[in-house]
Amino acid sequence: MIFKLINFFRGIVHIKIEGKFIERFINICTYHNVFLWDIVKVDSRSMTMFLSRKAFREVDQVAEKAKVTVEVLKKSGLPYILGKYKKRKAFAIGALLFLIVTIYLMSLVWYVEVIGNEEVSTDELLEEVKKSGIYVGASKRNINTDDVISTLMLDRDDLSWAGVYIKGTKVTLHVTERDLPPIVEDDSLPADIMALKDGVIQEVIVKAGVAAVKKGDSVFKGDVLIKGDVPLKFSENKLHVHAKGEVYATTWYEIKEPVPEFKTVKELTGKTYKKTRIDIFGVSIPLPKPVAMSYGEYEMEVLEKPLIIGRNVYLPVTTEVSLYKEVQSKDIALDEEQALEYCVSLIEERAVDVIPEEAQILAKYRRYVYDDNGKKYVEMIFECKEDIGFNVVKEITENS
Amino acid sequence: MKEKFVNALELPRELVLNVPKITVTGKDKILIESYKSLVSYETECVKLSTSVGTLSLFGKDLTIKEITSEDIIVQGKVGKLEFNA
Repeated sequence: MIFKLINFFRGIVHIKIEGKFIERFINICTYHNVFLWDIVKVDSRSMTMFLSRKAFREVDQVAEKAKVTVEVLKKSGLPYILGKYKKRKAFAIGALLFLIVTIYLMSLVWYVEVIGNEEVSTDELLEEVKKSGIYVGASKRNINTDDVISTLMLDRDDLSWAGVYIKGTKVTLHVTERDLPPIVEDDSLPADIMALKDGVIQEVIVKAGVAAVKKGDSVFKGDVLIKGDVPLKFSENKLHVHAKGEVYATTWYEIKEPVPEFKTVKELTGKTYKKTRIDIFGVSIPLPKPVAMSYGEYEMEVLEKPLIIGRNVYLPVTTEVSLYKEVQSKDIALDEEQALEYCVSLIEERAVDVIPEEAQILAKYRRYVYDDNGKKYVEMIFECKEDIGFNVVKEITENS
Repeated sequence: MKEKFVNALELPRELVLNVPKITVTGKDKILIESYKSLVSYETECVKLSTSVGTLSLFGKDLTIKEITSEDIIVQGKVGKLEFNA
């Protein structure tokens, strides 16, 4: 087996010898250390045998001595296969070029992935590492992962850890975000706490300063809730401090929404239309389609698929499939109960934007109201408890 | 003299005395080491010259599997071996 394999690489020649003294030919061959095998007598004047490509070069000389003729039956093995291609120069150049281009393309980054980020945007991080040489199309050799990490960590204070791995043509940037320390208020300046909105005071917690309101007081926007001027016992003057504290008040939010008569529902008709684009080296090429999209209303889904060889070799080719789904708007008539329910859900949706997150909703009231034209509305009142105080720095005059 | 010496020391005879060593595997493969030259090759008879005379191999469908200056492998239906001085 090994013998056959070695011969395949060396090249094998199958020859036919014709003449009177073939034994003499064989003897001269063995004398010159030419290895022969599978010698078969065909008829009284000829034999066939195998020998290596290298030995074949000397055969002509030996044949002349032994006065026999040599006929080549078959040449096989790797050197002859390669020899065939030697003449096809364009093919050889192409093969070489292919190899070079492949090796070159494999040395580039074709995909940058950012994982672990929640608050910080991926684009921002990509922009950041671009400075250190990590971008699509960058040479992998020029990337020093330690450098990238250290520059990233020095430039950004919202990351607590970063790691860069290069696998195939894909670079993975793994980050862990840092919880930022709370913003410390500058409390060196004297300040009052004022009401941010109208409400009825429920609770006053003073940490610094003097309370100006008490539980049950109605306050309006701009009223002072905690004063920063502390009277001194043995002096006419007052001590000016930066008022601190929490003032919880009951606040009300009113949201009005006209009662709808019908509800618009979008329904999928089940018809879909696919459009494919191929993105090569950042150039997007749409694939032609025989029929143009003709939907009036539609929902769209975009699927992006990078071309990957194996698990880690990302190629600079992305297919982008846009899936259009036709939808049809339908108006559904609502009875009174359904209308109210739908209206309340619309109001609740708006309430999320209007009512601050910190506020605690204590109660919800709803009622029908009519405007001058007799149009019917649902009005909802949200009763909330929230901290309405905010610091206002004030200027101090000597006499105050 | 040489023969006695080799026998006394139990040296490999074929190397020291330069005589052929014939190994027959089954009935279809014969290896002959330290032969001198190929005298004739027919499908029924292979004749080799050795230091101890001509060695003839008779049989049917004989082929020379391998041949080097040192040894030769003959394959085929071997009938008999014969030495002629």
